[in-house]
Amino acid sequence: MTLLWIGNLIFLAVVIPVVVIILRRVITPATEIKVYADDIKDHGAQFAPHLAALSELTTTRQLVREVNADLERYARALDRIG
Amino acid sequence: MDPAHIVLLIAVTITVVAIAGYLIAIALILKHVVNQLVTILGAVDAVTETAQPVGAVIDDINRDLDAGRKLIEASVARLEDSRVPVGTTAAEPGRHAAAEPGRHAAAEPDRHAADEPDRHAADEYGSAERSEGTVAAPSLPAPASTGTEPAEPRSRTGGRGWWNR
Repeated sequence: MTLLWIGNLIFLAVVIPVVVIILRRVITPATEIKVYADDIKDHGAQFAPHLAALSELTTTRQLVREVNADLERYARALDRIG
Repeated sequence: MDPAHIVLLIAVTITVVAIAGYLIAIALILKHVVNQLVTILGAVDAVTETAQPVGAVIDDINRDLDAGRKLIEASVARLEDSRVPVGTTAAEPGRHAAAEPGRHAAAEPDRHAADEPDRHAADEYGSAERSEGTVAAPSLPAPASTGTEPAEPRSRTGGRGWWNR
C-alpha cells in the first residue's frame, strides 16, 4: 500500500507535469503556425487586386500595334513630303 | 476500495483528459491551418495563371515599340538628308569653300614670308606657337567681298594680328 502511494505521488508530481510540458511544446508551434497562416492569407489576398492590371496588358499590346500602324502611315507621309 | 486506488484513478483520468485536450486542440489548429493553406494555394494558382502570359505580351509590346522607334528614326534620317536646314541657303557653303582657302592660302604665307622673316629668325623659340595661333585665325569671319580680291598686306598698327596683342 505504501508503494502505491509513492507511485501515486510520483505520477502526480512528475508524470503529469512532464506530459503537460511536452504537450505545450507541441501546441505552441502549432499555434504560431496558425497565426502565420492567417497572416499569409490576409496578405496573400492582396495579390489579386495588385495583379488585376496584368489583364490590361492585352489592351496595351493592341494599342501599341495600332500606334505602330499609325506610325508606319506617318513615316510614309513624311517620305512623300521629303 | 482503497483511497490509494481512487487517487490513482483520478490522476490517470486527469492525465488522459489533458492529453486528449491538447491533442484535440492541436488537431483543430492543424485543420484551420490546412484550410488556410488551401485558400492560399488557390490564390497562388490564380495569380500564376494570371501572370503566365505576361512575358509573351511584354515581348510583343517591346517588339512593336522597337519597330516603331526604328521607323521614326529612319524617317527622321531621311528627312534630315533630304532637307536643307532652316536659315541656310545653297550659296553659303560655296562662299566659305571658295573665299576662305584663297584668302588664307594666298595672303597669309606671303605676309609671313615678306613681313616677318627677321622676327621669326630672331624669335626661334616662340614663333611656332604664335604661328599656330595665327594660322588658327581662319575661324574669323571672312568679309563678303574678299572672294576674288587680292589680299592686301596688313599694317602693324591696326587690325587683329598677333603683333597687336
